[in-house]
Amino acid sequence: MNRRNRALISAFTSLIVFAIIPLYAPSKLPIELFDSMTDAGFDIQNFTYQIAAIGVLSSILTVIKGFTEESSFTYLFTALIGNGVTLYFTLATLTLGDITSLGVSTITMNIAGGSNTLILDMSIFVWFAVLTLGLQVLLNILTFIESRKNGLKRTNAEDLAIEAQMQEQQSIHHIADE
Amino acid sequence: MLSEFSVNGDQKLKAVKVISALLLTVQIVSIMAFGLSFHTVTSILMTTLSGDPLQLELNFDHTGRGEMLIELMPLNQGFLDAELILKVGALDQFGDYINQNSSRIHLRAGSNRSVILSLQFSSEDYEKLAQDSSIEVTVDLKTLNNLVGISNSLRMEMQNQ
Repeated sequence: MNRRNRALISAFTSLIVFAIIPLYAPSKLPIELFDSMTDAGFDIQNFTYQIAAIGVLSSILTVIKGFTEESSFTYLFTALIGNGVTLYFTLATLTLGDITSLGVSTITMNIAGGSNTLILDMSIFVWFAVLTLGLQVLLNILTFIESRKNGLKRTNAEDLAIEAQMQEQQSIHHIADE
Repeated sequence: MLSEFSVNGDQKLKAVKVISALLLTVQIVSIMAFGLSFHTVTSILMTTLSGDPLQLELNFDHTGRGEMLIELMPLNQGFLDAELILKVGALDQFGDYINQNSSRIHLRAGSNRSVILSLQFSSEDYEKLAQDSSIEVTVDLKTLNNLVGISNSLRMEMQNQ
């Protein structure tokens, strides 16, 4: 399977998993659960819209990457934007849609005869995600440099081959003229 | 432009391999850390603040003095140790504490502990408790070397009888 087909399949899968399912799933939830989540301060609609937007963007980036050369600047920029989108997705998931909380989420639920407040501190995983982003960016840049260099090497080799071929043809012509 | 890079191709290829391996390691470690800490935290919370393990008893004698005993039995079914701070407080109708008490315990992986927290009340407190008061039980839980934390605060209104 070539890169383009792989990219198309991958983009289609991302679109279904991260855009279509998150947009469709809330309509299947019981209305009571929907209301209790809203009461708890969790804006499920906003959360699903964010995930769906990330899914659409991610699919577009996957297609662009599949249809461009690894040594092109378009590929590099697309890969870097893709890294940013992945970080945003991780943060949105960890912080339940409120990325400004940086991993500390508060959920308050009303229960029979009282209330239940939950404060989750997942900030360490936010730092893990940032570290992953840094490494991915570095990896993409190095891969890009490597591809460019290989491309240049290939171009030089092709030039040398063409030059040798031309010299050979010239010498053949020269001999034929003689 | 590419010739400006001082390292040669082999070194760069090596760098790509090293960073790829590092990236994979970070991703595996973060996923494992998330899974293990989430499992530990949920297992402790489920056993501490729900079901039978939470026992609450409030008694007043004829002089008006009273004592509330709360017994918590957190069970750590996870694979990581955890630090717990268990707090209990009685609040008046304005949300101010009448009395509170807390206990800190270290819960090893796979172990359980029984913690009894008591609150002493004077006869003046009895009047406050009689008017729309509430009881607050808080579990501050930290695991993964205190890097992951969760705080669950359960507030229950007192039923005056």
